[in-house]
Amino acid sequence: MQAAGCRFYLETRYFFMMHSLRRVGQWPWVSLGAGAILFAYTGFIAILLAANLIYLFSDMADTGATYFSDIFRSPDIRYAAWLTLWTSLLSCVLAILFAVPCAYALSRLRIPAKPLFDMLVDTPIILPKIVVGVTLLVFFQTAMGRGIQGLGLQFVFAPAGIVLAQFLCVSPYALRTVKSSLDAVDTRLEDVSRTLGWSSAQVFWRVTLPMIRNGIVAGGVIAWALAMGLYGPLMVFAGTTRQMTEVLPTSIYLELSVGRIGTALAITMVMVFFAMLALLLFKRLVGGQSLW
Amino acid sequence: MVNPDAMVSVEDLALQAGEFRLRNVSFTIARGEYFILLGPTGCGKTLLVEAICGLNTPESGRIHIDGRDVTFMDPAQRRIGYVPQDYALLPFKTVEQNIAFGLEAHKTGSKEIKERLDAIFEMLDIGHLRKRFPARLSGGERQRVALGRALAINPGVLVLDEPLSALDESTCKELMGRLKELHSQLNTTFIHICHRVEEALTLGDTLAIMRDGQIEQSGAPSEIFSRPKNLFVADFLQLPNLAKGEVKAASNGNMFHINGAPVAETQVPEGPAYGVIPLDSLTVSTHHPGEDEGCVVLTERIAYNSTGPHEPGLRFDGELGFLLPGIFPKNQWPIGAEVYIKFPRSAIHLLQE
Repeated sequence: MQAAGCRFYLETRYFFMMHSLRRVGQWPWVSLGAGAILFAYTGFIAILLAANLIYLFSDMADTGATYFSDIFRSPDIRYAAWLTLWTSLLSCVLAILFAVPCAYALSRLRIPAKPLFDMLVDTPIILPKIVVGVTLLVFFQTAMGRGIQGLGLQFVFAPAGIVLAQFLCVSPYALRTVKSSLDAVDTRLEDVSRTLGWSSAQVFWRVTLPMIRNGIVAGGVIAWALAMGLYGPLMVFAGTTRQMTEVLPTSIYLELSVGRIGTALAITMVMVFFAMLALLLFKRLVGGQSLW
Repeated sequence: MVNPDAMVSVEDLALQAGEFRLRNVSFTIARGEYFILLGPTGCGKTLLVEAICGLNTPESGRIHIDGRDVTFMDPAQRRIGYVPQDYALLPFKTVEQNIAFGLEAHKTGSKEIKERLDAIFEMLDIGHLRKRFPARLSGGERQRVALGRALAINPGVLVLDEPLSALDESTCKELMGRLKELHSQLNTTFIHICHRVEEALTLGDTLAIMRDGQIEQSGAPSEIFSRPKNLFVADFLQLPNLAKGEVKAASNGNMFHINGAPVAETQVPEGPAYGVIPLDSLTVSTHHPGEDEGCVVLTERIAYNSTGPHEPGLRFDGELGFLLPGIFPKNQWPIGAEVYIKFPRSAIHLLQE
């Protein structure tokens, strides 16, 4: 019994040594512990997804309901899916377009009162998401807000408002990701490039941007994923009008609120499937390397 | 007025970087000279060369390169080849692309880039690495690639920041030889930062010794070795010919004593002092060499004598106590033997704490 235990220990240890390229002298329980926690964590997520699928298919067998074909056939859901896709992609692109220069300024420039800017950048992270919607609604009641709407661009209870709310909620995450990759770039690479004859702007395009490519992609993926799942501030600021401002997370919420758990879960599973597909695509985009 | 023969001229430079400050830094480097900036870690050597390269803006003072005032000029305009301590090779470019990077900035044509690359590859013997990425190079290879990248733009001045400090002994020796060879081939002005005396002596035409953001002394190695400006310079260079003694008042001025024997008249105030003994005019013998008007004869006992390859030299018992590496390579004097050391009084150089 003891020999079998010992053998199990050695075999497990050998497995982790082979698969983690364990460093000499490293405590074996560290690899074992970390591996076990990783298995438990990812296992829990897989079980949750599987449970949803089992629920959907068992319920389908009992009631004959075809949740998946229902949601694909529904023009409201199809519209919401399309709205979710383009608004989340647009807000993700906008978030990156703002995140890169802002992160560059925070990381490289000597700005007076930098901690204040740093804190303001993070504020949308700290705020409960629903408050972002309320804040936007309040802002567009002010003279400035009304003036902006007066220019012809409708935000309140309009698709543009979805993009604005998503952008506000997700851009700090994109900015933080881009900034941490910028901070990790050795500024000496930029310095040497300047001595080689490149101007500061050229160094930014030819050295800094390629160096933070993975950070930008990772920031974009985070922003997009968060924007896809956002619904609280959108309901407050853009409303939930069908075929106008209803996005998929709002559909899930509305379906749940009237007790249609199956439809809500079917929408969720479709979203998860496409999000996973997109993540794989992004990973290919950064050359099979880890995104973050 | 800028010296027309000077390739680099730094006048009264002052620069603040965090808590650290460079101050009153002035020196000139002649065209084609191998200039060594020597000093302990953290004395401001890198900050100084970064200012020369244009990566730091000075608070005051001027920097001239090849007669042009470059103090506030963009680094891109200075044509300085810079090899930083960590080499800073672009990780997403191959060796070939790294070396061509500076040439592309200068709008060099593709044919010319190819010719220049081939010349660099041949000069530094790195042709076999051209398609590799920096992550797959050894320390010595990275060093040569960084050197190639800096040389590719045909710089007027080549700045090397501790190029040999991260390399093992044999690679270091090989690269020292290569640098010396390159310097004589290219006729470019080299500025080389280091903290090892041996490296400085092997390579440098001129040395500048830095401490706490200031240049303590600069000049030819022989001049600095025979007349160090202060005890810090002497200690940093590990001068083997430093004798501890004392300055005492005498009837006609002050007198420097070693082992209680008067050695030389001096203007230095009374108290402990160190004498730099001139090695080129020093003799050691087991028989008394005879008194001579302008010379001192000191009697010492041999405490250590090695003619082998490991730390060859002589060390004495008394205050003289110094080690003479390699000056008497074939001596047969036993340990404990009494010897006479003779040197001219006028050649001794005194230092105080």
